[in-house]
Amino acid sequence: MRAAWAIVRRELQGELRSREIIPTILVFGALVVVVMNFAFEPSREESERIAPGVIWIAIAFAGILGLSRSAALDEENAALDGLLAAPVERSSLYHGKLLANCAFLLVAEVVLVPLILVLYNLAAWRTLVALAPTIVLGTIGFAAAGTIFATIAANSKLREVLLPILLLPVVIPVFLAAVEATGIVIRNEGVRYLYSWLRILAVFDLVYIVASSLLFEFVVED
Amino acid sequence: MISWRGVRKEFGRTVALRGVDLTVEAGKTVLLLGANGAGKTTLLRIGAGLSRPTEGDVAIAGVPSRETVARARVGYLGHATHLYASLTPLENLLFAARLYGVADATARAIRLLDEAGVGRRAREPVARLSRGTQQRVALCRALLHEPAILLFDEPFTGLDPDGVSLLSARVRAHAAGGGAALLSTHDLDAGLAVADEVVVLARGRVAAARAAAGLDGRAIRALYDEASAA
Repeated sequence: MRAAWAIVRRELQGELRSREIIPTILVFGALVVVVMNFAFEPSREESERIAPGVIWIAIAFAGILGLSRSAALDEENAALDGLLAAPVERSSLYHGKLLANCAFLLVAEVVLVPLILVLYNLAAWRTLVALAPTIVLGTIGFAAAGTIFATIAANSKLREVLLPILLLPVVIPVFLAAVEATGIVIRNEGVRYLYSWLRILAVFDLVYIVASSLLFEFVVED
Repeated sequence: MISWRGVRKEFGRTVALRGVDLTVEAGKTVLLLGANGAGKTTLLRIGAGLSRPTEGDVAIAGVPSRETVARARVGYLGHATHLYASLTPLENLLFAARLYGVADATARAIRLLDEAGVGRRAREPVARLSRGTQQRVALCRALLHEPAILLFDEPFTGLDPDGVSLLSARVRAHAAGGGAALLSTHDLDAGLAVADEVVVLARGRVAAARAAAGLDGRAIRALYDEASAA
């Protein structure tokens, strides 16, 4: 884990200096949310129905930009080769990138999710607190698959196009479970149903993390 | 100290290396020459554990080069600098030090940067530095963990005459201290000044290998042309 934490530290250090990733996620996510709000002009009932989808569409589209940028930074000056030459397990490199990407997404979501709830007249402390486990688990699943696919796409000239095409089909189960869990929280439908979706999210997170840890080595080597 | 045995590398239908056998002994510096596409970069990348050979293997002091313990003994410098542009030279070196588990990293990094003539700019973002200055920092990064083996791909890129002298002195000192080095370069004079042996790659094979003593630029050129034409 020494290497993974070193990578997290470097990623955060780089982001504090350049401010490239989190503002990108935030601005694009906010634009998606505002455009959808103007498009639907929802009533209270409609808001409860569509807000879960809006939250995860914003996270997906804005997050893809952030993941793509994060991987692109490793390609500049072939910095990734410097990491691969170091005496650390490839899986540690993946874990470090995953933790950093989760941190970037979660920081952006701390602003984005309340913004969505305010715009859709659903803001309440209870909702925000109850949404936290869903947001965290959904973000981990998205970032777990996104980190490895962003690394694959970063080697391509079509990286911005390739990443969503590769990633979105794979993370559909995560988004379906996350949207369902978010809807249950917003509509206050009961903890029992929420837990079942959270368990599904946790299983997908685990599957994506384990599979990506095993595959990362083959993705980054010629 | 580092040896490639029957190394073949294919990228789809393209064959980059066709059964290369090469050994760099401790205390020796080998100059790797060859035309563009001869396979030099691929050979170095496989040695550094960045690429898997399709066939054959690379051993570093008897350990497969893809093992983490083997990678700890290699200082690799590729075509690019491997530096993060938003970080400073010092931050880049401290990051590398954490990956390599270097003790007393800050003092060592500052000393290396001072010796490389970039100490005054150690706290500026790398993006603001010239290519030559970045190359000096990249050299410091490759030497930070005191590797036994240097694998340098076009290390003279962007360096001014002082920088070339600095790098040459570093490579000579490395060999004098019992280290092994394999350098790929098109700068024949700079390469010959530090080499004990010259190896020419042509179309993925070792086409010629000679002791560097007594060779000059013209002799190297002839060797190079002869190997490329064979």
